[in-house]
Amino acid sequence: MKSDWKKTFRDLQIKSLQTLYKLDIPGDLYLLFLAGMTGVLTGFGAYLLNVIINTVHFVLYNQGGADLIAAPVMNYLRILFPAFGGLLVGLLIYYFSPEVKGHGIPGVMDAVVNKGGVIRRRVAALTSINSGLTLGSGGSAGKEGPIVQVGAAIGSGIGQFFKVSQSQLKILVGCGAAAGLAAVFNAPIGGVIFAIEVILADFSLTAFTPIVISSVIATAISRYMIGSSPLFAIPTYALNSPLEFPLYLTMGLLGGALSVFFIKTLYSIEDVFEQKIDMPFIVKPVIGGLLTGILAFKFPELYGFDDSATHSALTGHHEVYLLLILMLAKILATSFTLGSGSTGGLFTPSLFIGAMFGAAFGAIAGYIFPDFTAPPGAYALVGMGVVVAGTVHAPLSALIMIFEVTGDYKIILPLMLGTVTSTLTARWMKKESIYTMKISLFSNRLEGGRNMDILQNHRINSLIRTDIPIIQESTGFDEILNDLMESSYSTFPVVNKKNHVTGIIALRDLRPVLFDRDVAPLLLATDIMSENIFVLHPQDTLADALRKMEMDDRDLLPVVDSREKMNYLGVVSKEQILDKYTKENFLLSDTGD
Amino acid sequence: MRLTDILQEEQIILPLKTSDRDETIRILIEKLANSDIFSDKEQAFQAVLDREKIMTTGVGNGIAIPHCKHNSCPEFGVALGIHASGVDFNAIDKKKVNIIFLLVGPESNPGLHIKLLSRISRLMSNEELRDQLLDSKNAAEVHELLKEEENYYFDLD
Repeated sequence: MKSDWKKTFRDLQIKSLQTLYKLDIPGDLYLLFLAGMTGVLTGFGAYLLNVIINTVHFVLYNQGGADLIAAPVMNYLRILFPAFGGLLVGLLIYYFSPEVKGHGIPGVMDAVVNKGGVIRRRVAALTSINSGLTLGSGGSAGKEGPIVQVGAAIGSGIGQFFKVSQSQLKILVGCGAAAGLAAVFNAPIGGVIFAIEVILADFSLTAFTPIVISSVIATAISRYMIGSSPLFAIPTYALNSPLEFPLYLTMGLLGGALSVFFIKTLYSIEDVFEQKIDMPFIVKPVIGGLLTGILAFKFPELYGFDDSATHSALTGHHEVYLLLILMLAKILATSFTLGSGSTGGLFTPSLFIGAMFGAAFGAIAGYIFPDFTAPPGAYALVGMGVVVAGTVHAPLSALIMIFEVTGDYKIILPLMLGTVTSTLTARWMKKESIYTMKISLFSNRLEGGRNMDILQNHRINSLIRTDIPIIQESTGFDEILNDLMESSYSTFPVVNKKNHVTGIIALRDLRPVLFDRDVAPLLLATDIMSENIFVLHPQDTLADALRKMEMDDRDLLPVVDSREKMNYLGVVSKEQILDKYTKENFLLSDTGD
Repeated sequence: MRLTDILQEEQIILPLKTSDRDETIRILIEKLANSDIFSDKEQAFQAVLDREKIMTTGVGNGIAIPHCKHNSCPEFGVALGIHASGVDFNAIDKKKVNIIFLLVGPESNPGLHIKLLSRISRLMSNEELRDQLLDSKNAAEVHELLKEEENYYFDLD
């Protein structure tokens, strides 16, 4: 019975694709439809996540407090609530799914790069419940990590159900991530940029359109169900004087360093929980929750559901010392919550830390340069962007998100300067972002969306090809042109009489001559060729070869025995390397179901 | 930039009195050496000869454009010699050459190298101009003729 149903479905799928082809509709309409579905489901998912968080919060903090327990006792019970949330989370992780532990986004990035976009279906449901418990019970984290993971799992699930190709599956994962972020932050553009810059690391137009559709739909649903005002309604800030630029630059530098400090603290504490504390796994989130509870007892602003501190920093109502204490306490509380294994996002904590840092910086700057500085709230706003950019290494996402959650366009220049400076500083101090660092702990290193382990463990010697026409230095222009037109390659090595590589000729080297035929008879390969800035050796790794090709802006490079002798051995093309990479990556993929 | 910005009046030899190809190239290299173009003029000379050995640059109609791309020539340089009776360059039409452009430049910029070569060969395809050059009295007049003709062309970059 079930197989009948599957066959009918498959027939229908084939028929509709053929009809669409006949109607000459855009080729990716099918993908756009799936992206739309991802957007709808993720939009409702975001609403559901909100409901879970609010329910848990209401039961623990309001219902429990007001009706059953006297106020002073209730006040002390607050210490225990995050630990209680931690206990439930620990149990769920232990019994169902270890991958929902922690802050979500690294798992999604790992799925895209190392698993061909495949995410287990149960992840969506469990992440919602776990993060609902963590955040509702007061854990110090944000909704965005979990909802990105939920959205990604929804996108991946839809793609797997409709059996799309690996590249489309990845795009659907990006659609889900964008939709999730857009829905919880009411930030449709930020969601799109984040998915493209951080999750997919793919700026191509094919990825762009479906992601936009998904993001728009999810945001529209979320606006209808939850509300449509920006996350932080604050006064409009602007640059007061051009003299403030050096201040914002300094803030970017310091903020980058602060971001690295946050990353290091988080992972050191996680390390302590994972390696140093010898206790049953279930107990760890309880301890983390308890420590968070103790901190939050002193500073209730630290609870994950409470954004009053960020808000008041943005409107400029805090003492400098209090701001700095809150900044450090938030770093600790977030590290306790997430390092111990509870589920939640890092984006909101980064906003909090950044707002405290920025407001403190702004207040101090205002004290030293009272004549030209804007109010501390302006610095708090830029500070949020600075710390987000520094932790996730994504200046564009940070800048757009801040713009969208505050609705303040006038401060865009300092924000751009701050986010870029902070990203550069943080990247210089620590190569890994708060997300990729996590991935490198449990899996392979990522760089530019590629798994570096594969690229560094394979050498190019098996890829060397010798079927390419070799051009002699003395070959005339017309003959070169002929070779080029007949070959499937578009770049050729040039050798001298001793078979030593002397240069390389690509299509683009011939272009100036093509329109100037007078000179053509005069030209030999040696006149046209570009000298070799880089050559390959058989022992080069795929990573070396790719780097040389990217530096030299070539799709193909000659392989020689040594840089001194330059004896020609063959060529390796970028296409071959990427092909090899894709296949090796495929073998490693863990489809996990 | 134009050819006549690189080829200055000082780099034009008229009349050129040499007896063979190698001597001609040598004299033109010396002319460029005065304006500090080379890091090593001997290597540059050798590079031009090496290129000539692969295939002659005597392209016919009394024109030769000996040239090289070599790291001993960090700057582009062009010299011009006009030889009344002609030198044997082993040209493709077997005729002696009267107008000899020497072009040297760095390895790193094949684009401009080709553009300069192309500009020279384009200019020299004009028979009237060739005759005017051969009838010129001095370097100043040659430079003026080339400059005027080049006004009809676009800048090189």
